[in-house]
Amino acid sequence: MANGDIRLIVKRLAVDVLMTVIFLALAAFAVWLMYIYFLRGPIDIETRGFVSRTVHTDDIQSVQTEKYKISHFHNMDDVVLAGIQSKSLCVKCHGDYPHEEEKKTRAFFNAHSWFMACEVCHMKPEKNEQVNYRWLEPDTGKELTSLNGYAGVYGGLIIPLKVVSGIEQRLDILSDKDQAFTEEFISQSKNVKADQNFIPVKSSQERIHKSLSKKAAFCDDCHTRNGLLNFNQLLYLPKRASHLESLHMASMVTKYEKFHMPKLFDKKIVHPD
Amino acid sequence: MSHSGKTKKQFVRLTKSQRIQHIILVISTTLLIITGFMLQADRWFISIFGSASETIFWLRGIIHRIAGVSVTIVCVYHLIYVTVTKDGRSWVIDMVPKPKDVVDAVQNMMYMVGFKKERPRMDRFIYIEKLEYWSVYFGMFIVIITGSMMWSEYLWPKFYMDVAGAFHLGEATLAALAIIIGHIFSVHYNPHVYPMNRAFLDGMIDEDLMKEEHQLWYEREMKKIEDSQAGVDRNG
Repeated sequence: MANGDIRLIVKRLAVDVLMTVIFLALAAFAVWLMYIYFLRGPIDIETRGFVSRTVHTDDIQSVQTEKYKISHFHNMDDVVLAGIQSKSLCVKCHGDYPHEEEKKTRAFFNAHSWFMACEVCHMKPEKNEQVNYRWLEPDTGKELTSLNGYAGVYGGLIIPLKVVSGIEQRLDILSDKDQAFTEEFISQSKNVKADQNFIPVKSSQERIHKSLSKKAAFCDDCHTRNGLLNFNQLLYLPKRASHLESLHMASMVTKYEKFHMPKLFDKKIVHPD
Repeated sequence: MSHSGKTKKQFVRLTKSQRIQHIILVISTTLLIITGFMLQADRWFISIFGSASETIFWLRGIIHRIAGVSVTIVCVYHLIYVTVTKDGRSWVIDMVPKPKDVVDAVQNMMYMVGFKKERPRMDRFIYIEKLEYWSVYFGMFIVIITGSMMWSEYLWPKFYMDVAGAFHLGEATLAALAIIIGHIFSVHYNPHVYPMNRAFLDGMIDEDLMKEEHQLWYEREMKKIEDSQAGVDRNG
């Protein structure tokens, strides 16, 4: 056999091997496509790998949560997914995204609920009452000494503390009696169709919300000089604290249809080092 | 050269502009399929990347969007191309489905399974190519609209996003399977062109393949050549 013939046979064999490998890879991919679309189970129609509404087991939830976090373009909702607010009784009824009425501001308010106890804004103000605000770990009550991590995800919440006879009392924790009453109400309301006009439901809700105000604090109550919160005392670095004081959120919301805040999460301000 | 030593006639199958449009479509679609279906990967696959998975999936999103924009630009350009240029108009006119395509499809299948001795005489674009071509219009319309919606998710109510996601994934799956099973076979594994139909590279098709798959087109082109030669002979 001539050299040219051998070379031709080897060349054809190499092409055949390559084409076979490509064929097998494509066939495997096609089979996998049909598997994920027709056989794997509930299809994630959001295409983000997050299927918690259709699959509920804890194991799958954690897998899907991990996938959701790495697949989503903005990589958001870390605090809600981490469950930092989940101990709050408010969240049990009102959910992780409790603000839903006002389209223009609800995203801002919901974003705040990740790192603030609901009582910071919804507390009923009382005259001559001294209230301090601190970053506390919600479970242990241990105060944070510095703010480390992504903006707002510091492992704690801003919690209001009422000063009574020189002693600080957490305002996000109910008395044992009220706690038991609220938990009982929540468990009962799952079993009965809650009718808002039915007196026991209405009076129970009034009792649960008695220390809360319907008119919540608005943006500029905090984001202003000498506002409700002292950002320096809340461990923010001076430049960040000054920036948070000068956001003028309320005027942004009321004046403009569209607005953006390019420096809100500027790394140079949040974590200058 | 053919086996007999006689030079085979070569005909233009794809112009330079058509080849450039095709190659951009190939690269963009491949990237879109890979980066899109990465979202459906199982956990073990993601764990292969270890600590780099977050960066890889972040890049995935960027690449998917760049490829999506590229494919959109090619589609818009192609619409202009088939409207404005002579080659483009000729292309789209020859792509229009005709009743003969149905007859060709039936006869070709009968030929494949051995009930007919000869392949039907088909034109410049056979029924499968027409089906593939017009499917791309349909598919691109779906994925471009739904992809744009998912890119601007903050503008849309949840229900719209769910519908857009379902359509995007469904059409992407259909298109990927059509490309792998249909197009890759006909331009790579089809015995007439194995291991590849070189038209996407040099734009040419030889007369053997023309006679086999595009008999009517071949006869028309040969008649044009003969007529022009006769004209030269008469004048010269």
